[in-house]
Amino acid sequence: MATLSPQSPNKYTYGFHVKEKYSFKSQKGLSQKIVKQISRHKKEQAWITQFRLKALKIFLQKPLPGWGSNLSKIDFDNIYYYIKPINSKAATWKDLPLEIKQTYDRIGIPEAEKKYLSGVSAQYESEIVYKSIIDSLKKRGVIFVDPQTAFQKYQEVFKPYFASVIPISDNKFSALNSAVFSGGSFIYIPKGVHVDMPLQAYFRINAKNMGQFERTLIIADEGSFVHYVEGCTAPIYSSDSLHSAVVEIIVKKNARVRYTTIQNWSKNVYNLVTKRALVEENGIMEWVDANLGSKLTMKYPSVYLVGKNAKGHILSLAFASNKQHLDAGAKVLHLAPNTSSTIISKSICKNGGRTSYRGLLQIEKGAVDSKSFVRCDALLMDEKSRSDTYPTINVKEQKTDIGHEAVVSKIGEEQMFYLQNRGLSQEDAQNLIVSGFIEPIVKELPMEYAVEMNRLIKLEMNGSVG
Amino acid sequence: MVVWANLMETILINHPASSKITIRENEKKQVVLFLSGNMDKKLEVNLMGQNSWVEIIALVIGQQNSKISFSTIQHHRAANTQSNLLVKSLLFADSSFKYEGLIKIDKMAWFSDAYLRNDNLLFGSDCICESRPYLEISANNVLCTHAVRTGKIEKEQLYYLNSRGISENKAFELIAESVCTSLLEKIKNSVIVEEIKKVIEQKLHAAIS
Repeated sequence: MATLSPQSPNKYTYGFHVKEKYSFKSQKGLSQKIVKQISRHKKEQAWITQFRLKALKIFLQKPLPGWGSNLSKIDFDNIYYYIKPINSKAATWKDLPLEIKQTYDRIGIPEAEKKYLSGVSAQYESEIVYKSIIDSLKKRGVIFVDPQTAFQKYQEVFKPYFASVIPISDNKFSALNSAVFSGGSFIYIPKGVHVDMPLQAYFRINAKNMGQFERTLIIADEGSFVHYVEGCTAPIYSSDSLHSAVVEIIVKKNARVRYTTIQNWSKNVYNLVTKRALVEENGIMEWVDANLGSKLTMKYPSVYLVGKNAKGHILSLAFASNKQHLDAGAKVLHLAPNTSSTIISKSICKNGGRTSYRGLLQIEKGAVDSKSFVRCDALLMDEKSRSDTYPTINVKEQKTDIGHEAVVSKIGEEQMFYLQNRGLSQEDAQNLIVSGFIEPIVKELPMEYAVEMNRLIKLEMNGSVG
Repeated sequence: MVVWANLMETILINHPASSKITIRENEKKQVVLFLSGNMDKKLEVNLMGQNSWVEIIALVIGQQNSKISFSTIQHHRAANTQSNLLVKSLLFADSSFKYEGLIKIDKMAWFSDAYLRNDNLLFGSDCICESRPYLEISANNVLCTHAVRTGKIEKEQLYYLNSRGISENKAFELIAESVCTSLLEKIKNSVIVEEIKKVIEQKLHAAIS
């Protein structure tokens, strides 16, 4: 067989249909022209193109956030804003960085999935299995599509809610996403429908699992339930340096949505994500947010409790090592009576890593009898690392009950002594304590994810004794 | 215990300007603050020497229409240092209180033990309370804890007092006084206690009636 790279201009060998598959890659940098190009490639209607152009204008006007980490190193002109997914096929297994390959091997994920995650292969082996899942969901009226299909086929469902929770001008990166978004999931769950198994982007055939500027919109109609899982435990290799997603969720009366993220981008990525949920009467929103990868993450899943008795729960986990800076946290706004929320954050930093918890808890006037509890725990593994906590608690209503607690410490000497006394090596003892520390969050993950997560933490912990 | 109290110096800060306090090696200091009216107070405590120890006690009474903002820094710059901070506020109608408390541990400040606690009790229906307890920690062999509680008087407490024939206003006064007493008890210098006790009584009485 002739060895040919997909870039080869030899049309003859490739044949006609391959030519069609040729991917599109926009120029580097961002301009009106590129935004229009993206829109044209997606065959979008005029209002979406206008929406994108408006967002671009706002993006260019807005300054970078002056808080958090240093973002001035991001070179916005040196980024491809749109690459058709199939393009990543051009990469080969050999091109992947060694540490990613090693991690894949050590976690023991199957070859096909490895390739999928690394972008080498665009399709997942179990395509047929997933197709049947999609079919059964369709019968119950569930819509689960990518944004492009959503706008083409289900515009009347999604248009009223699109950019309603996170407006373009919310922040610089939501504006960026609004200008160049591609990929992601648009989900509609009809009234009273319980989706029993967690939905994953995997299920959608031909859709890439995670995009650079994904856009997700979930609408859970009255009394419905859905659990959406984003990401995966194996590191996702990306040569792009900036990722900026927008996730909007609408939880209607009596509905419940759980959104689980396991973020494990390769360690050269800026991950700047805006996530927000609007919860109506009696609704429940749960964010389970685990961050392990990326060079810098700034992500604060938010819950706006707008209806009576609405509830919000956020579990946040961050593990930073090797100069990573994970600035994660949560925001809850109580805007209606009798609302309640909990935020549990756990962070671990080692080997020069830095974790920050940044959160907001706001009780507006009139949100009587609302309750909230926030707890942040941090483990510092060595003297090179750093841990910060920046919560804000803003109360404008008297009839409330708010608590916040945070503890930063190292692994207890007594705990280590006890375990080593019982014959565990120093490393095993440390692993055990760390597993116990993050257990409240890991136990909320679907089983197969929890298993992989534990393995991954163990892997990250490797060599931390020294 | 007596020896301990003698060794420790208690400082009362009763001016509105920003203050900086340095604690040197083996020193123990207690810093007392009382804030009311309209105020913007900043306090920075630097634990410069090894084995230094500080306790910061602040009482905030937000009367009607008063705006108080208060910020503290517990900066651990040396090893084996310990800091405790307790800020309690009583907020009455239309008052606003903003608090920002930072615990900062430098890289070389091993075995630091820092604690921050902020309790806010809201009496009035239109008060605004903002609390920002921050931690910035660069050393690993430390223990840093902070806790914030903001809320109203427990219904059960009020019910208990009411059922014993105590009017609502009187009950408020009792509960507010008990909060103050819990702080005053921690102050080791009896002269200072007497000094601020009178002021507190006046302010509380004015605020509740």
